[in-house]
Amino acid sequence: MLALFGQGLMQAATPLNIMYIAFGVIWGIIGGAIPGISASVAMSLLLPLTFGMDPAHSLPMLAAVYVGAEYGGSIPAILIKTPGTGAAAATVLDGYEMQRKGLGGKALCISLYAGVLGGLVSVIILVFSTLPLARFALKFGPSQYFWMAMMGLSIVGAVSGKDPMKGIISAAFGLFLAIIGMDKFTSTQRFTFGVFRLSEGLDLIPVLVGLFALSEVFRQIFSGEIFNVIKDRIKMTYPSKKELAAVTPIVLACGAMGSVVGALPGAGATIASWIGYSETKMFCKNNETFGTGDIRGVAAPESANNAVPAGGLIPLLALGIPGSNSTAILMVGFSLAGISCGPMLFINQPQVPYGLMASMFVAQIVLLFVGLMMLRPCVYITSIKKIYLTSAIMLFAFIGAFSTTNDIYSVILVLVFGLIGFVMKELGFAPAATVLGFVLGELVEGNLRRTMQMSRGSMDIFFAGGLNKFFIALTILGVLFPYISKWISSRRKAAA
Amino acid sequence: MKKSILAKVVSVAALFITCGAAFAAGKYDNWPEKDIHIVYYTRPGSGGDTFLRNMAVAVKNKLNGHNIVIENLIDPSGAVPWGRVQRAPQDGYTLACLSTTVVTADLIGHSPVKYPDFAYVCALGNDPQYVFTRKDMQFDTLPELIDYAKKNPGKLNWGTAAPTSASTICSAEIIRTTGIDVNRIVFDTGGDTLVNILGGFCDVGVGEYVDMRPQVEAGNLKLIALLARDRNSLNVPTTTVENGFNIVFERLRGLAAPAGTDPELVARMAEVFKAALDDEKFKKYLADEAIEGKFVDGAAFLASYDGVAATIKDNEAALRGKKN
Repeated sequence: MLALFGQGLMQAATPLNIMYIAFGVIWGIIGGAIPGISASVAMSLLLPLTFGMDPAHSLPMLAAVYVGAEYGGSIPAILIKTPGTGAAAATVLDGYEMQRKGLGGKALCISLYAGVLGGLVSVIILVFSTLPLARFALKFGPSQYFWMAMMGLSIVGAVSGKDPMKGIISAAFGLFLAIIGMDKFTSTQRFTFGVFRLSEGLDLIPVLVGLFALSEVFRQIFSGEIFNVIKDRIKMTYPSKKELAAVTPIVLACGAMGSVVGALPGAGATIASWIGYSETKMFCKNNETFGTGDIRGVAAPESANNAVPAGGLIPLLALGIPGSNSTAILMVGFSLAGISCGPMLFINQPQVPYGLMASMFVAQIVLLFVGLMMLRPCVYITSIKKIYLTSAIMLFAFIGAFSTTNDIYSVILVLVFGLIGFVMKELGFAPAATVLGFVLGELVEGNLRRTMQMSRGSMDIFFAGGLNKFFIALTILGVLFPYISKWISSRRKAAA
Repeated sequence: MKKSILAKVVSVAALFITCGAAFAAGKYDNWPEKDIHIVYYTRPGSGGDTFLRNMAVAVKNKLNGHNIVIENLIDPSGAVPWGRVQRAPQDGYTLACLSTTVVTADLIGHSPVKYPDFAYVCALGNDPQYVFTRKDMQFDTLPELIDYAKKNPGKLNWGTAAPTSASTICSAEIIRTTGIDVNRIVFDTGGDTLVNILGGFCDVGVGEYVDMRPQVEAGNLKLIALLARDRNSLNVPTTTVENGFNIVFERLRGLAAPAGTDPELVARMAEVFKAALDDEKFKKYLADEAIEGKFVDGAAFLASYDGVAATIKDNEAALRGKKN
């Protein structure tokens, strides 16, 4: 195993391969940073280039795009509150707050550090435990997915600000948004009001961009902040050694968690980043600073979502089943190269999977260098006059939305959700909780109904098995977390 | 002199007739003169998308140096991508890749796109459906499965993909015609069904070979029936008389242009795309994925989808989730 990985590293580290990987990483960062051009879209745009290419070059290049895109999504999330990908939504909460305090450069550094380290952790896990993790992933059925999603939902208190009830209402609104469209079980229309385009359901990107980016633009316009003049140019700030050391355990833990979530078909980077954020907040001391620009709130989701690409290779390579859109495109790359993924791949051509793992390792190193080079130009963006920057954000948001469906429909959705997000914030509701409900809604509802179909209505199935019990315990802990947290801080205050 | 004038007139007339005939015969001989856009409705990497991409590579030499650009406009209902093709210019440069989902989306999914409203170009392959199960299940054939289900009503978990998928239509047809009582579990994709069968959460599924091939080759899954008239290279028993059933489901994959496209242009397109079936690499791909490569002209292609429509109507209640 290690010998094959070593061989793969030797091959991946040749100048030609590094060039392909670097191109893939840069392309991925650009794709990830543009809302609407997700990792899978960036990969599929490159796919025609791979026709006739040596698979030893084409597959690492495609994998590198995936790695780059997961990092790229965090750049606009931090700088302009516009998550480039769904996976970067959780990074907005603390990343953008850091930027507002003039610490955008530091937030980008933390994101890069967490992304690269989380990615490296996941590649190491991939090398040593692809087959056992693939077998573990098969232990997740509908009831396990249901509880995992419930665990994610239970942290609504962590993202709802001061009023938990308003947070719950916001999350319930997100759940409602998730059920709009054609019911996948009965082919009936739900809450589409005769608008056929709504039967497709709402796309994540217009909802995210509207609730986060456009609502922020509206806030700046109505508060007059848009006309503020930036007196000093924002300086590049780097995290201290102490800060890096403080986030390292979080990064390692979230990297491992992201690898496991990545291995679960259908879960993906968006779920991983929310779980990373919420579990970190729950288990960290002094967590009241989360949501106000805490570096741990950037490190956790970024490590988790950057670990997903390598984790996502587990079901693809070991089972022949792509668990996400991005790994499905990698599978096309394999198919065009005449290679079949699945259990026999490790027996017939073991050099192929280990070669790809080595390429992902090299891609993380390349990402570190490319990311460092991009830091200063990125931070410069925030020094632009506010009115120009805001106009650019609006343009960016609309172009990103337009590119998801290539028509005006998504642009209208962005506008609608921008207004909704603005009104929600003015009334003290939490758009982040709405996003959480929306992201997890389909997972909750679909798996609830599947489980009920299996048991013919019996509830016992939800409580059977160790995995279900584990997730139930974490769900209860998540629900009680705001109250426990409040109790602990009141005790501390009393003691002081 | 007269002879000479007559000869000149005849020569000029002949020249005109020849030129006219040549012009008429070769009106589209130079097609394509720019890149062709083929719109598909699922994500890259799906069975249909992989078929399309392999086909695009196979006909590359016939495109006069131009390319096929595949546009994945992801929309499970198909309304957006197919609607776009229906509204596109009838110039042969915007085509749709169709599967039976265009029929189900129309009849079950309330799509505004009506499946007959295209100029059907040709189909290049039949991607059949298989009934499959885990290696440790106690049945090896479809009659054994039916017998088991009848002895254990409500015990078998039968996984299907989205309501508009071929997997769902075929499952509904088998369940309805045999009268078995199973738990029909609806997943998003064929891949999800597969994972749940491997994990022991489901027992039986219907799907395409491209999804399950790695697990079949590894011996973790077994194919117990092929929903076709004749056995194919995998030698799986069919759902016809040999097994005591009469279920045949043809799942053609092919191309269509906007309705009203000049039939001569359609014929030219069919001629170009037919060449894919002569490409050795494409033939190998079809053989590896157990897809029956065959050329079906536009009329027969549409007629096949009419047959799918009839099967859907027979199973409408089950497809709308009103019964198992």
